[in-house]
Amino acid sequence: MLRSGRRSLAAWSIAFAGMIALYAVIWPSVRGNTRWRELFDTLPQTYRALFTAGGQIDLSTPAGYLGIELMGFLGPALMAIYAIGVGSAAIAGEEGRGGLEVTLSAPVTRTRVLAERFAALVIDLAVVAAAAGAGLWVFSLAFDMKLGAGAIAAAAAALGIFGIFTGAVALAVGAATGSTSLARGVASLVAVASYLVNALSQITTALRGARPASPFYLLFGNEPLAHGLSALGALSVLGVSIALLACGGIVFARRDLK
Amino acid sequence: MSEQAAVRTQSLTKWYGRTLALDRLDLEVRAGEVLGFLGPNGAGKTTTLRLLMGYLRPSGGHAVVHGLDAWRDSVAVHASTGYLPGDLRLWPRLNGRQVIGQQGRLRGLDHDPRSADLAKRLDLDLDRPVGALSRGNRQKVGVLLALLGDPRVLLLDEPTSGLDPLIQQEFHQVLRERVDAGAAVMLSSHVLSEVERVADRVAIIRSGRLLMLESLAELRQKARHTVEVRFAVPLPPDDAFARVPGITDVRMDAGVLRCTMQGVVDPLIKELARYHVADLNSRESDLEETFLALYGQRGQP
Repeated sequence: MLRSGRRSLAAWSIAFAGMIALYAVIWPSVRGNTRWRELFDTLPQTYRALFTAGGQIDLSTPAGYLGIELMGFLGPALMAIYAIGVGSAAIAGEEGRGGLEVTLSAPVTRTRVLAERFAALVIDLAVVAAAAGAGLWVFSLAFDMKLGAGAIAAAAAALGIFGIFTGAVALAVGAATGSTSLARGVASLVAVASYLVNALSQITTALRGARPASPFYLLFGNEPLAHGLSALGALSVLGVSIALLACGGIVFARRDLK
Repeated sequence: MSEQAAVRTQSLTKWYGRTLALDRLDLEVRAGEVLGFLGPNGAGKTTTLRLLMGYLRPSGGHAVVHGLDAWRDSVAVHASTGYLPGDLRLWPRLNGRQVIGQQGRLRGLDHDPRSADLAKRLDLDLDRPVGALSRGNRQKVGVLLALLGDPRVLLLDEPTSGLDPLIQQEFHQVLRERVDAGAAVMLSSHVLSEVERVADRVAIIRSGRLLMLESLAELRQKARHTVEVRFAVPLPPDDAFARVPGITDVRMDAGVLRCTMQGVVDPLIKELARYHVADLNSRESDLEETFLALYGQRGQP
């Protein structure tokens, strides 16, 4: 598990940086293209909400451009996919494959094993987020995008924390139930819901009250590449992640292993 | 219940939903003995061992290792217990050395020199990835893991499955050494011949219920003899032996008596002495047959 995990971590980090490279390469041709921006502005609010986390975006700036292309959907989605994969494999996946029984035959509590797996998940996500940040920094320099260090750090942190949240849901559900598919399903549902609540609440008043409860909004609603990360939002998402993990841990410590 | 019981179950019961997997099991394993835990597949052997490891919560009763509750104090129990799961699955990309290192660190052992020694005895290459090993060799890694840190209690679920006979012999030798040093071993199997070779006492379980718990010597006393006697004329009457104590399956055919004796053969010999015996052949049936006979007699629910 340790080694295969390391390989996939490297692959995801490279893929993330590569994706940023791709967007950066296109940037010079987009920069001067005012028509593209006009087209976007003519789109109904409904569509625009699906592309931008915060709603207010200036496509003529690199932060706005990447805000739509990277931070509005694809970046968080990839982060969630990776985090949910790792989180669901960490307890439930290993339980299904039979390795957990061997690990737990040592004098260690289930709670400790869960905490260590969470710590490993956080480290993995920090690496992927750092790769994304490094990609932003390198290609910002190479293509004259003039992204500030603070903005890059905020974007990487937002991506990483979204990964921690979705990964924690997968880890917690997996630990509580021992089912990899349930862990993946619930965590994916939560990730999609948090995205949709944020997007749709920009369109309909019915969901407006729910928007502050969406981790997607709390992390990306401020447009971190343009305006930085909301500390309160980031901390509350981390807090909720740890609370969910604690709930999963309580059930994990009391249930039968499969 | 004796003082020195290293492993004890008290009316241990486990329900899986509405299925009763284990029904008020009372057992004990003393320090310095091997308890063979016998039963067909699905009898509750694995459930019992997993309850003793604290992987499952008892529906009733207690599983106790060294006086500690296996569910509540599982961490303390694990500190002195080695476990080999019945369906051993390891991390395929790690090699034996890495798997053992990883588990050793969890036990607070940096390096157990006995592992390398044991690997040599069992003829295991520790440098190959576990995923590339044969089933038998993977099982050896499991044996090494179970013996890591020289635990005082060993819970082994079908430990020799996949091992070839020579390695089995060496493994039994290793177990004997640990037991002589005071370890308590509980070893499950569905093959009596294995238990016969290594166990001091045998517990037989079926459908979650303990059928019997006795020493191998006691089990042997219950062993049956298949007796064949050829008579010279005058032949005895066909029903001459029907009332001999302990006799079953009597068949008299053309001056040849075939029957089965349970326990001692003496009553039959006394009776035979009244006739002209041309030839006599008595063979002790192996424990396998005894085992099957016991299943047949008492095992039916």
